[in-house]
This record gives sequence, C-alpha cells and structure tokens, in this order.
Amino acid sequence: MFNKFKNIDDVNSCLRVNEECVIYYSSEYLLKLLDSGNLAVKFEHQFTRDFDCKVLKGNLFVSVDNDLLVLDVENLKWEKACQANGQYITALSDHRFLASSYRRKDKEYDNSIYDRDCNLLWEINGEMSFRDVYQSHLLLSDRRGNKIGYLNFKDCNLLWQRGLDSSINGESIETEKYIIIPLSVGLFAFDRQSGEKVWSIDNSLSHYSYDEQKDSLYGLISKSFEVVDVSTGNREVKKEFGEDLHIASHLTYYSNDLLYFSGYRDNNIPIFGAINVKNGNLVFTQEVEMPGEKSFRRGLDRPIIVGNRLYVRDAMKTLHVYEREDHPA
Amino acid sequence: MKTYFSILFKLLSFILYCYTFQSSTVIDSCLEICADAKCIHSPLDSLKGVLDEYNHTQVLLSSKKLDSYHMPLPGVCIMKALDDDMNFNSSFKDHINSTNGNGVKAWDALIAHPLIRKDVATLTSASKILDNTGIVNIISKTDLQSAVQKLASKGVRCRTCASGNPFYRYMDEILDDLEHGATKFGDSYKSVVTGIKQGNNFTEGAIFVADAVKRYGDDFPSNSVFEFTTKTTADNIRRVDVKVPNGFNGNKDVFFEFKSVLDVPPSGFATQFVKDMDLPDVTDLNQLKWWFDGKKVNSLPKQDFIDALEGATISQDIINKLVKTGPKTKEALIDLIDDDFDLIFFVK
Repeated sequence: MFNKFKNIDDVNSCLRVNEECVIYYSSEYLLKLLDSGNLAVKFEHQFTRDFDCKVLKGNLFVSVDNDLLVLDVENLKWEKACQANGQYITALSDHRFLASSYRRKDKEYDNSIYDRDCNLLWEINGEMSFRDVYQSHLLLSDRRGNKIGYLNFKDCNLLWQRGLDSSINGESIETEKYIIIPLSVGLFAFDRQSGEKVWSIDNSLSHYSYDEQKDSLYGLISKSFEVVDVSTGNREVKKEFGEDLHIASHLTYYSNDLLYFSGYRDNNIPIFGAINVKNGNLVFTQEVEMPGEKSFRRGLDRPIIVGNRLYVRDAMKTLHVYEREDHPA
Repeated sequence: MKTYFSILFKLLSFILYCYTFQSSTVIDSCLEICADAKCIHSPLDSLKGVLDEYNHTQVLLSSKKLDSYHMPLPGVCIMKALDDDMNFNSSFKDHINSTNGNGVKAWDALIAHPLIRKDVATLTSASKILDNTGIVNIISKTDLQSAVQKLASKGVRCRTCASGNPFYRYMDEILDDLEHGATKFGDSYKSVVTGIKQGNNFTEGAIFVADAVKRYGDDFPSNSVFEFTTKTTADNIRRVDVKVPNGFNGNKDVFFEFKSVLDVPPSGFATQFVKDMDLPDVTDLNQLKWWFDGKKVNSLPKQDFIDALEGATISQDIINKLVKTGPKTKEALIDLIDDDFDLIFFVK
C-alpha cells in the first residue's frame, strides 16, 4: 500500500518521470522540471503552444512542430538540436532524429532521418511512417496499420516489410528475438531479422507489459490476468479474480514482479493496485481520492512507478504522488 | 345490536346488488353507502370476511382492497374517481375488471393524470413496471409517478389522449422502454430513470437513451454501464452516459454519447469531444460513439463537425495516443476523425 506524498495540479501534458526529475507542462504551456526527491521546481520555461517531449540519456528533447530543442537536464541549458523540413520532428535517440510530414490530400508520408548534427541521413516517402520507436529500431506502418516495416535507424537499414492479417490494435513490443504486435485478430510475433511470423494467439489483449528477464508478457484486463511465454507464444497463466474491478489493458505498468494498474472498482471508484505476476494474485487496490462526483469518465492514467513512488494522474490533470508504506523516503 | 345487523344486512344486500348489475350508478351508490356508513366504520372490519367471501374484487369495495391500497374511508373519493373513469370506455372497464387488482394499482399510480390513467396501453405498461418485483429498486412506484409527470409535462401523449405532442412516442412505449432497460441492465439503469425524472431537456435526452438502447439491444449487453451526471470535468452539461465494457474488438470499452438535439454539431461539441478523446481508457477513435436522435436530425454536416474540431485546442497527449502512425500533429488527428466520421457519429 501507498501513502499520499503530494498532489500536483495542472499537470496538463508531457508527463515524464525518472529517478532524477519529474517533467510536465501546464495548461498554459509552462514547462516545469521538478526535483524527483522533494518535488520542488528546479526549472521552468514558458512555451507559447503545445509541444511533444521525450527524455533520452539525461536530455529533454522538445518537439515544437519542426523544431527540435534539447535541454541538458543536469545543466539546465537549452540548445537547438535540429530544424527539419517537415511538419514534425522527434528524437529517436540522442543521436538520431526523425522528421515527418503527412500529406493529407495524398494520405502519404515524407520521412527523413537526421544525425545529431542535423545532417540528413535517409529518406523514405509513401504510405509508411513511423509507429513505435525501440532502442535502435523503428516499427513503420501504413496509416491503417495493415502493413509494417522494420527499420534500423542507427544505420538506416530497412530490414523488411510485410502485410498483416488484420490491422494493428495496440502497442507493439520489441524483444530480443521478436517484434510482438497486437492485431485485431490476435497477438502475433514476428522474427526481428526476417519479418516471418513465429507464433500467434487468439483472444489476446491490446496491450501487454514485457518482462525482459523472464521473457514474458503480462496482460491484465478487468478481472483477468495472463502470462504469455514470449519464446513459445504459450499462455502460461490465465487467472480470473473475483473483485469487481474494471481495468483497461494499457493502463498497466510492470515493476519488480508486480503489474501495477489503474482502473475502477464498482464501475466508478478510481483505484490503482497491483497483481503479483508470479501467481496472478491481486496484491492490493487503493482508492484515489478526487473531489466531486464519481464517474466512469473521471478515471486515472496509467500509473508510473519509479523507486518507492507511484505517480498517477487523474482526469482533472492532478498528479497524485504516493510513497510505498514500508519504504519511506 | 338489532340496528347494527339491520344496517349490515342492507349494506350487504346493496353490495350484492352492485356486484350483480355493476352499473355506474349502482357502484356510485355503493360508494355513497360506504361513504355514508361512517356510523359503521368500525364494524366495517367485520364485513371483510363477508365481502371477501363474495370476492368483490371487481367493484373494489372490499375492505381488503381498501386496505391494500391504503384507502380506508377517505379513499372512497378515489374509488369514486375510478367509478367515474369506468364510464370512459369499455376497454378501460374491461381492463380494470380483468386484471385482478393490478389494473387498479396502475390506475392509482397514475391518479394525478385524469386522461393518462384511463389509457389501457399506459396502464398495461405501468403494471409491467409495478408488477416486476425485480426492478422495484430501480423504478419504484414513486419513480414511475415522477417519470409520468415529467413525460406528460413534456407533452408525451397516451394512446387515448386527445392532446399532446405528436413528436414524442406514446407514453406506454416509453414506459415499456424503461421496464425493459431496468430488467436488462439492473441498478446501473437508475441513471436513465433519474434522467427522465429531471424534466426538461434531461427528460428528452433520457427518452432517447431508453429508446436507443432497446432498439439497438445488440450493441448494449447487460453489463453496459449507465451514468447520470450533471457536469463533466469541463463543466459542460452531460446527461446520461453509457459505457459498454470491452465493446470494441472485445477488449476496449466503448463510450456512447446520446444527443437529442436539433442543432448539429451541438453547442460545446468540440470541447466535449476533446474530453472524450482524453479519457484514459480511450486509445482508439472507434471507442467513441456519438448517437444523434433521428427524430430531430436527418443527417450530420460532417464538415461543420470537422471545422469545430479544427478550432479546438487538442493536447499533445491526445494526439500522441490517437495518431498511431506518422507525425503527431493535430492535422493528422483531424484527418483520422474525418476518415472515421461515419464510424463515430450516427443518426439513430
């Protein structure tokens, strides 16, 4: 169980949490960087509009249309990383940036990869664009998620492309050997090197959490928990539990043998909790106190667990910060 | 003592006479006798057995009936109203006489509405609600009365009502919707009843919800969740919301928004739709369904909806989660909504 440590209001967008800092921006586009220990504000910067952000190797990359800015989180200094010819730019890694545009009339994309010095390395135009970003690879897909490609963005090598049995219906996962993709007809594993299908399972979820050490996928939805062996595609555990919980599969977070989740109890009471992935037992649930009437429209984002803290934002954009009971700061 | 037996004998004779002929006048007379029988009010208890023996359910003068409807002597005037209504038409009279008290129970529930209470279709629908013991906690007699009052004030007509707003479906149809919904969806359906009882536009919205979830029953399994809220996080008014757990692809919730409005897009549309997209449970646009009342609009001006969204503020978080492929821009998101418009917005 967790004790409330602090509430932070107006956490509008771009919430990023790591061991060093908590980053977000307010509804007035004020970027804030907080010390992860006492949650005091260390740095602020006023933007004039929405933006996207990503933390990579101690740097905060901020995408404002086709401008990519980078903040050295340690020294708190800005520099311009890259300006691209496109509608949008994002950092794939601290050394690779991707610029892309969507041509609405043609329903096609222009994609370009740049190096750290903003030199153009690679271009591809057409029906495919980036979908999920991994350590050193990109999953490309067409707009409807019926066709995919696998690109190594370090050396800009497009390894393979292939069609799918149905459209993508969730977030893909890259493991040591496979790309695992939830499709609307089931969960499919493709070989990373060849793109060949390795296994598939029916009646799957749209989101799984990956445990790299055990090479397992953990899936949780409402009253059902399952474990999938990545190497074989076998469901090793499928467990139902009795509590009246409502959990969306993507609102889960794996950490240290526990699959944390947020959701509702009795349809509209916002809660977070955890499942022990070793046995599928529900370890705890805890209500999140929110002002106003309860509603299935006033739920919680996915919880984030960093160290002894659990961070979960509610629909009113208040970030609830909790500390584990048995591990006070 | 002799006088008492004399009065008792006269009364019994008269009631048996009433039972035999059952003319309005006669029943009226019976009632008058009862009303005048204050002097034998206390001894009336002793009549119970005699009256029950003759099973005078039709004329409803037995003290058993009076007691069961909580109508002791002051209730006689209500019974007189029933007697008056008996003259309305033979259908009503037959209904009352053939429903073994249940028709009267419904009639009594609708006592405040002199026209509606004589409508057999409405009485039948009201009886279905009152006699369904499984839904008494969802729609009680008081709820029914309040609902009928709000519906009537909106102009909802009964089949035999001369006046009313022909725009609405008949009272019995709406009550049937409520009985069906309460039976199928259970406690959660209280929200629809609450909506009906609110009056004004709330009632109108709830009528549409009750109708739609019955007509498109396959889209709404029994575990659908109904919710009545007066405000959203954006402080714009919502009415009855419906969530269908795992209704999309078997593993994602679907959120329904019911709109019974003349103007489309409705006021506040963009703000509300952005809030819908911002729901933590929503990762796919097809989890959102906006159903518009086909009695009020024939078609939806797609471009007006798109234009409204073009002018709205949409956070980067929303764009990031819904635009799966390519640049995470507002334009890309709106293009997806444009493409999927007919999968999100419906006239029903």
